Amino acid sequence: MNNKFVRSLSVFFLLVLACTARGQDTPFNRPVELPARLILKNLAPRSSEPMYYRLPQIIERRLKNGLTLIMVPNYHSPSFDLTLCIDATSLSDPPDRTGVAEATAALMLQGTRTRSAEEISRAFANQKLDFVNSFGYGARWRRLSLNGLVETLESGLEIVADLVLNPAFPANEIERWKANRIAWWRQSWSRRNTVIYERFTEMLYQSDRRGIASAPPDVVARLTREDILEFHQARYRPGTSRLAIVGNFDPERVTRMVEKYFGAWTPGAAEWPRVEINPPLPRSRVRIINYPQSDETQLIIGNLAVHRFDDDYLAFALLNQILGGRPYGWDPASKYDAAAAPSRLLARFAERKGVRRVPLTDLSALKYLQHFAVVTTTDAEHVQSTLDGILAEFRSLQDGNISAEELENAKRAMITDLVSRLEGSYWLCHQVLEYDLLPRGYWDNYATMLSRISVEDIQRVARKYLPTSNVQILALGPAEKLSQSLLRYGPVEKFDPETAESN
Amino acid sequence: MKILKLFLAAAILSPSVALADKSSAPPIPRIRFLDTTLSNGLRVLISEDRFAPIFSIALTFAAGSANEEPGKTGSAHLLERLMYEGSERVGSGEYRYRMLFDGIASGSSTTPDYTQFGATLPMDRLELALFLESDRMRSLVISEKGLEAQRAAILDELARAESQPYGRTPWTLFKLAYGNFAYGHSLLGTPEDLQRTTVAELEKFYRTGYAPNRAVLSLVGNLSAADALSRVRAWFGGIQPQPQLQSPDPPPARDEREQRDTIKDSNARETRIDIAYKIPAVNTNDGQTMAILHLLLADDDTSRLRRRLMIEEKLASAMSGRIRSQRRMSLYHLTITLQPGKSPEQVEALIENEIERLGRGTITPEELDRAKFAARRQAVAVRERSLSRALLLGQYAALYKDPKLINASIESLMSVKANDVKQVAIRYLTPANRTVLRTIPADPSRHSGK
Repeated sequence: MNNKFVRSLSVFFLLVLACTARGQDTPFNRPVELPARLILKNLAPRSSEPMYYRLPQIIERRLKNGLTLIMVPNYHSPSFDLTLCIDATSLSDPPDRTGVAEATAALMLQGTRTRSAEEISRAFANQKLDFVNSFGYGARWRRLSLNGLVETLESGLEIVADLVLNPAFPANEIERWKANRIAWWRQSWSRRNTVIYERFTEMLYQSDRRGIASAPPDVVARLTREDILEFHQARYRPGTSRLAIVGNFDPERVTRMVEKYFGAWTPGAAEWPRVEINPPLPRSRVRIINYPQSDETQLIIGNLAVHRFDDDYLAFALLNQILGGRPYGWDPASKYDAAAAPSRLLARFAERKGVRRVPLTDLSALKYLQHFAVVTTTDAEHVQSTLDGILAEFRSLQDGNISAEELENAKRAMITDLVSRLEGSYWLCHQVLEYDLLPRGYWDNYATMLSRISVEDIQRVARKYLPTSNVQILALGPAEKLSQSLLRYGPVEKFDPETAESN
Repeated sequence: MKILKLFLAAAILSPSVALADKSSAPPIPRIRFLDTTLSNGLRVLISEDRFAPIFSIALTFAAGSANEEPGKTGSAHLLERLMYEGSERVGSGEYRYRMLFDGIASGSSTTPDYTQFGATLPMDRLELALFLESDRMRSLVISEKGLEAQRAAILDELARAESQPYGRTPWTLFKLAYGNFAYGHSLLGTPEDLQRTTVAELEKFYRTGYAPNRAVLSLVGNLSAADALSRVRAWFGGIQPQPQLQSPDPPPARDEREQRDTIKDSNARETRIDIAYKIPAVNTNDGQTMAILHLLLADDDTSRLRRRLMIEEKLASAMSGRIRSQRRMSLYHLTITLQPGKSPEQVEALIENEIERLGRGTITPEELDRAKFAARRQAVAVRERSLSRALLLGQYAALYKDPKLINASIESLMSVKANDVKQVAIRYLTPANRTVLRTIPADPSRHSGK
């Protein structure tokens, strides 16, 4: 399967695009840069008018079987993007069958009742359809995405429907997947970026299903074809699925197409996973995953925070912009002028002092995941000064030390981010997916809602959600060097990365 | 049931695009644009598109590394980077800073024939974009400090490129293939030349190379062409034209005999073969036909050469091809990374055989249809964003003086016939017209197969 990418046909050019915090899918040749020296003359014209934008026409339908269809039919290019979201994520794994959601998602591509895996691959390739099969632990949806020329939309719908409605789950492919998965898990301790994310998720969500970021090998080994079939039957239901299509088409015709290929999907809705939205954890904790030979330390510091549909979400997203806004695609190992930094953490850590990768914020405010964290890499000797620096920025926001200009810049950046997503079909598709789950007129009123957020609002959500006395810290590095310096933040536990056992 | 299943399987396996409903295929929208030239020679192209509340701007200067003199290589690329160091009314780094808060995307690139700058902004930021671009066209400040900083960054880039597997390969190939200084030297330059470059030399290059009479300004997006043009006149109209830069020597169109070389690479683990054929520029019929030929021969796993090399014969672990477009001549460049233990001779023989089959054998209607479908797909993808269109308009205008190629090139592609492809294969993909460079691991023990 091809992943989504853009190819130049008749003119080859080297293009460097410095994309600003926007999720543009344009090609890069050179990493995005912040200026190494900044001198502001402030003579550039600046518009004080509110930024104008308007969402394209969005049409919502609901099929008889309960499938929600959201269409943006007047796209300006003869292409389409579609995403089918199904509520079949790890959050719905039965308690003793962790991994069955992941297995189901992966194995759907290994054949249907009418197509082998190779035939599926060839069907996409023949129509020049770019297909992406997405699954993430704790994610809101499991997604199937497709992009192509609009005349292949019907073919694409037919293939996707075949995958979803008629998967074969061949027994030999299941065994092969299990073996690969177990082998991957056994080596996962060497993939530090995976380890740090999984262990941190575990820390925050604890015994909650969201704390499971991968399936343990002994559970995977026990999965059977019947487990997968049962999961597919229970969770792949139209009533809790939604299909978004952006393109250049007649919405009535496309509605009929969707009815033709997805109409046979047995009506019904899966039960939404039972997930509590919890307040931040009340007490500080520190965990060290011991890599004794490592010459650098990866750190995550954070706690539970807001979820996507919380009233505090927008104010906290604005806080996140003030604290950690950065250009999309920017290399946190690169050097730059502090004055050029678009956010607090980038300004504070421009001088480095042992910091190898500048602290970046991570706001995972989805329907089920609801945490906030700052991620960085430092020398072991500078862990304490780095953590103190991050906490100092948290306290500064809690004290309301925010200038009017800083607040205004952050608001402009967020509106520009929305505006930037209205040009391309891929991001537009993702933008409209939860259109009907948000309050009516949410995106039309987005700029107005942002404009009303005050310094006091930022202060309030900073006090509520930024961890200072209740930090959750995870460090990957040499435990012998780190233990003493991290004690001041909370009780320290040490873990072996290979066995995941405390020592 | 079994027969039905086989029938369905055959239909799906058929190389035709039978499932695509061609009758519902909308045409690729023609890009309409205003085309005018200011009295100072600045060509202005403006295309309205009201879909999204954004616009893109591109400035293309018909000056690149091919305009450099021996001993001064790397100047064009250095100047590209210095364009962010400030001008009379814009401070050092301030362009990028403004883009952070008021822009969506921005970037630049240098090629042998042109240097290009592009940006996308929300639709109400046209004044800002015109201010920033006009100020650096009019009054770029090149300081010793700025030069030192950018020179250091490029030297670092050079060192990193050299340390990559096959880092030296592309420019070694181009030097051999083009056969002249203008197009055959690395646009990054050499460390020695970069160290020697002075502020005065760069200022001279800037004055002549980045003058309005060597530039194309393209605007695409949610704006009124008439209003945008009047603003462009206000910001750019007062910038003085400059004497023309000397045109670089064009590379020889064809060679009488094959060029060959072998280099050793201490970072490479497998042998790699790079082959370049000299082909006409893309603004010619043969140039457009080559694009279809590439899709038939080497674009993806269904293409003839790739399928044979990587899937059927398993001689290569990776293969890619591309057309490197220049002003007067292009190169069709194939890159093949060999599987461990496979012989370069065998790979080259297979490539020759496939090209011969293409030129002398049959191209089925289905095959040609599939290639044109892929061409349409790529043409749509490339034109989807306003920035891509702005850049393309600028490139066509700067390289070929013909921005209408943005539409005409698609029409040309769709009218290519099987016999056109065969003729182009016979005419250009010949041993006498090719350059072959083999890159072999310097240390055979690093070979991944051992």
